[in-house]
Amino acid sequence: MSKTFEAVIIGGGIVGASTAFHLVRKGCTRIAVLEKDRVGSGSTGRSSGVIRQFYTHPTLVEMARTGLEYYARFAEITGSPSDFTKTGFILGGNESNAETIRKGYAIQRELGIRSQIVSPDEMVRRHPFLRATDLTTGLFEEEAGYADAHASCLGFMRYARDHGAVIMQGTEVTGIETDADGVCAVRTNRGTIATRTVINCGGPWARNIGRMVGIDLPIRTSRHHVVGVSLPEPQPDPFPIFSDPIRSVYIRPEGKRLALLGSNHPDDARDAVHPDRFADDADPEKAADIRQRSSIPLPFLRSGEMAGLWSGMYAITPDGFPILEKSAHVKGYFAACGLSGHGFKLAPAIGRMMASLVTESAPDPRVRLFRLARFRENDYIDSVTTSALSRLSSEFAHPEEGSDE
Amino acid sequence: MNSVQVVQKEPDGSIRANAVADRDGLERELRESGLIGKLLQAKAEAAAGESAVVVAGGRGMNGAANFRLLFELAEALGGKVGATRAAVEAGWIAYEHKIGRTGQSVSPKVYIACGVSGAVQHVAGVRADLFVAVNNDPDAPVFQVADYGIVGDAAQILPELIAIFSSTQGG
Repeated sequence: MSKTFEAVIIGGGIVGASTAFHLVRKGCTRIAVLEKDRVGSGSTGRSSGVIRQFYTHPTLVEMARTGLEYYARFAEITGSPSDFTKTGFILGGNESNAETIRKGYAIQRELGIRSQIVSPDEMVRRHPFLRATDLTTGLFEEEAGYADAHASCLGFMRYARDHGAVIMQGTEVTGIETDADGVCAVRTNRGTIATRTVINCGGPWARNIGRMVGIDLPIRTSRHHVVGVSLPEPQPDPFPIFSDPIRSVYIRPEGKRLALLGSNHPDDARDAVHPDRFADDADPEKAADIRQRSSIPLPFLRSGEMAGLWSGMYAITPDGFPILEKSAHVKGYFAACGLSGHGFKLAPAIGRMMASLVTESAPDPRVRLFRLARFRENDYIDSVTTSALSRLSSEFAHPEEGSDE
Repeated sequence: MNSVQVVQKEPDGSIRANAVADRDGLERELRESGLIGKLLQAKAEAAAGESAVVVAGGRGMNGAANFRLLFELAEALGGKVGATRAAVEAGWIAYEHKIGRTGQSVSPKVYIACGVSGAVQHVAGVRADLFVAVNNDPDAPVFQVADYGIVGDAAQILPELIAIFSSTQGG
């Protein structure tokens, strides 16, 4: 393994895959993707795959829109399926988040996204099984849906591979070498690879990769549960994805037989796990709690059979949004990490931004919003997020590392 | 037959890979690698009533028609047929065959995954002593999980396997 590559991507999840895809599209084809386990075996393989475009920062809305555009036309773009299923999306609200909904709606409207503010009656018309008498308002996003995150990751990877990228699974990075000109090589369990460009797409492991070049990324990994419940007959139809900020849950269909229930409760971010000692099994008590909370707005979820429960990792930053940057300190080192639970839907846009950052002298100016220095400068990204929960700076360490900040 | 490669993971973690050009070559390689012997052993156990073999199909089976091949191989080995989420959602096989986190969990002696990419959520439902993967994408993640891999089109390879095990009644 003595090859030289134009760029080496560390991490074979959806962010690494999308970055590889966009690099080869820009003609940067002599690249390698290093994955310590197998493609899509980390957070991507456990993603609930929801794609909706509600944020209260216009750049994030644009990026989510890019994500939707890619997944909805994925086979056309990459030659592989994403299994995108359009369902629509309802975000419920009451007086506590009505202002946020209005703000996000105004941004969506400006950007031409098809959404509308809906009344409780309208929500029930859109989602006939909804029984949430305490919801006083909501937002309906017509084009939203869900897709298969693992299949999408493979699709981006295959396209990149067919256009020159080399995918090395079972290849764990053990160090990054630098010389007077910056990054010069990546050391792995299978040999050293020469390159002048390294992109850290390590997801929950990104912090370890950052340390190899002396950069401590404020990323904290926590465990997030998803529960499958079988649907009753007749099946709910229509069945849009529903997010209930009061109960801190989201519910989406999974094919014609199941619903998937996920939690975005602020306390979830406190369920800290170390990525190397993470078992993706679920805590039955948490699963029962998620189901109980989900059954309040959607009572049919009380009667179905449990059909699988698992957990996946979020790599959460202090503001709950990604870190995307070209390092000012280590030449040739780039990072696209800390996806904070937004990874799947934002990955197409992030891959495109990273390819721009790596290959262009005047890259996409929106990337600046995501620079690492924002945390030091106290210039946090201001948007609603499922993990805004995560402003727990004092806890920003791996659980057993405590005070090495 | 298009080019096929048989890949075997040795106990020390090293990889033994041999390309074969025709049907005889495939059978010889499968025999020499020890896979046929192991499958015959599982077949004998299945005949004794053990739940020894599951043959599963995924998206790479490219349609309902090819699932017939999985049933034929399962029958030849005395096993059962499973499928991935993508295959059941596509309607290629009944939903009850779904294996994985949101489907059945299986623990056979031998699991033969055909046209299965190796998604975490599928593999989580499989506890097998021996994992065999047949897939035409050499970079499919399933080969990272498999003890034996056959890189080639499942629709071409399955008939060869069916022929081998149908003609070796009882081993």
